[in-house]
Amino acid sequence: MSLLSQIQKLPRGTKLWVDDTGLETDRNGAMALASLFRQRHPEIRNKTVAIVVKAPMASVRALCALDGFAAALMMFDLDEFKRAPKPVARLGADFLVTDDDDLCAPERLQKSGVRATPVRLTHQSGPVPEATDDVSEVEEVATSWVVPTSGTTAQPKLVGHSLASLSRAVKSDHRKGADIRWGLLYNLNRFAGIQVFLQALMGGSLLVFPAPDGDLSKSVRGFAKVGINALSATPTLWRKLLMVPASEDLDLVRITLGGEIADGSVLKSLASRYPGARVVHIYASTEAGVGFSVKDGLPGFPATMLQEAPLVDVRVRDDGMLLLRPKGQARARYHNADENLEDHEGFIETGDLVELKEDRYLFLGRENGSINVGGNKVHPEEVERTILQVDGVAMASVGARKSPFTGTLVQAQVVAHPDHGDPSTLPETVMAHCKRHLAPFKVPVKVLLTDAIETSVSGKVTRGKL
Amino acid sequence: MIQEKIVKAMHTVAADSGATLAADIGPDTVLLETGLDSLGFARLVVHLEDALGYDPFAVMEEPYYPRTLQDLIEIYEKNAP
Repeated sequence: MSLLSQIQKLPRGTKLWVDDTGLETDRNGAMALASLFRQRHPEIRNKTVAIVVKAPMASVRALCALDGFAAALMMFDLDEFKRAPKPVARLGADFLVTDDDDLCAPERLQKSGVRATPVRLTHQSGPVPEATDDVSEVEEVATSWVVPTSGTTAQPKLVGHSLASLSRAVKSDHRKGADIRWGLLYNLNRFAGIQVFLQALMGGSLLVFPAPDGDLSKSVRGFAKVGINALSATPTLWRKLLMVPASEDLDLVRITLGGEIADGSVLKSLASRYPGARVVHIYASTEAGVGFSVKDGLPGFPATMLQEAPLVDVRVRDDGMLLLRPKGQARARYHNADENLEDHEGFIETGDLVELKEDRYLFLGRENGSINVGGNKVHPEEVERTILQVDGVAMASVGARKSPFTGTLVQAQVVAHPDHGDPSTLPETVMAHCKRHLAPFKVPVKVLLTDAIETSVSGKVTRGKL
Repeated sequence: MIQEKIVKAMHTVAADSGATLAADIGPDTVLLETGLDSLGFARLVVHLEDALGYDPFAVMEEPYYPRTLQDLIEIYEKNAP
């Protein structure tokens, strides 16, 4: 199975992708471009390739050429690469395919410490050359799709998927798919974005790209104009989208949430704004792939999922850690690392803690305590360290509080040092200090003065749960 | 009345976070065009909870997301204790 073989199954003339300028690629165009690229660059066959481009249209056109042709591929955003080229070196890329002239100069790559050979993409952003229906008859390679984890602390890990492991949950009923038009709000370089791309492609649905530079209002207006009726996004993005007036012009029949905990208010708000839509919350991780989907519109997941999830075995460990084990043969593994992704039974730690309440598991947060503020991760330890620098603070504990606009917010409790004079001004001082030393989303919205902070047996601060 | 309090709180939050607020803010102003981002509105709700003594988002039975200032005012009016 390769992307090209999937595209070949689609009816002739099927429109695959359209961007915000109206540039389109159809089935035959995508096949012609892929063929052309493979003929022109036989040296890339069976090599590791980094795709470094600016526009999603260029990315997906390159993907179709490279899947089934390269040994491994990974997508990078051009601007991100220019700021931080290291991940391309970590990938061990032999070739770097790009539509950027600057990067095609070999000195430019050498300067950034990347040893890959640049390959110029042609026809990746403009109209497609004369379309043919002939896909070159070379034997296809099983390409590894390398996807970075979202990486909360150190550098993200690189996970190698196969097209089969990525498309495990994809529905490919072309008759139903023909009526669906997906909008893309996720970054195509990450797991969730790849999911939307594959669902659209293998389902025979049009995929509409967003406006550049993350302009949500503009993207939504563009989506409304093309008439998308399916959209997948994180709860954070959905909350923002619901505040965009043009979101009223969207006529959605499919709504998917993923990547973060979906709370009751975002789920209910979506159901009432889009009464004709099926709202589905997908639980997935880069390492485990798609786990399961929750379709009843409630937060968390029913306890029966432990027996009934079709794609994975679901287990909850005694400490509340959610574990997943893919049922099929198609598994991911770490790219360029010996480390095991699974335990001896094949289960993968998700890092998410859950708690059983009656017949439903609810998400408590991340095991490492990180707080997600509108899509940005905050480590409580960092905020606590900053607070402890303030004169007069004896102890500090940082936790999460719920917010309708960002999901969660950072909140702090502090204990004043007994020798400190009047403690009543301490919260203000702490807040001012945090503002000077931390990024805005890390600054506690509230600092409460308290007499004591609970500590665990090991002497660590016990942080409050949501 | 609530409108004044909300706009005043918006100014405080904006000043606090170094954001520049739009010059004319009226009932029809789109919230995301006021100069505050999601984090700004999250802080606004916390700020207003201190000033007004309640958080309407915590008690709303049919949650919805406000698009204009008028929407936000109504959320505070309808869910006042």
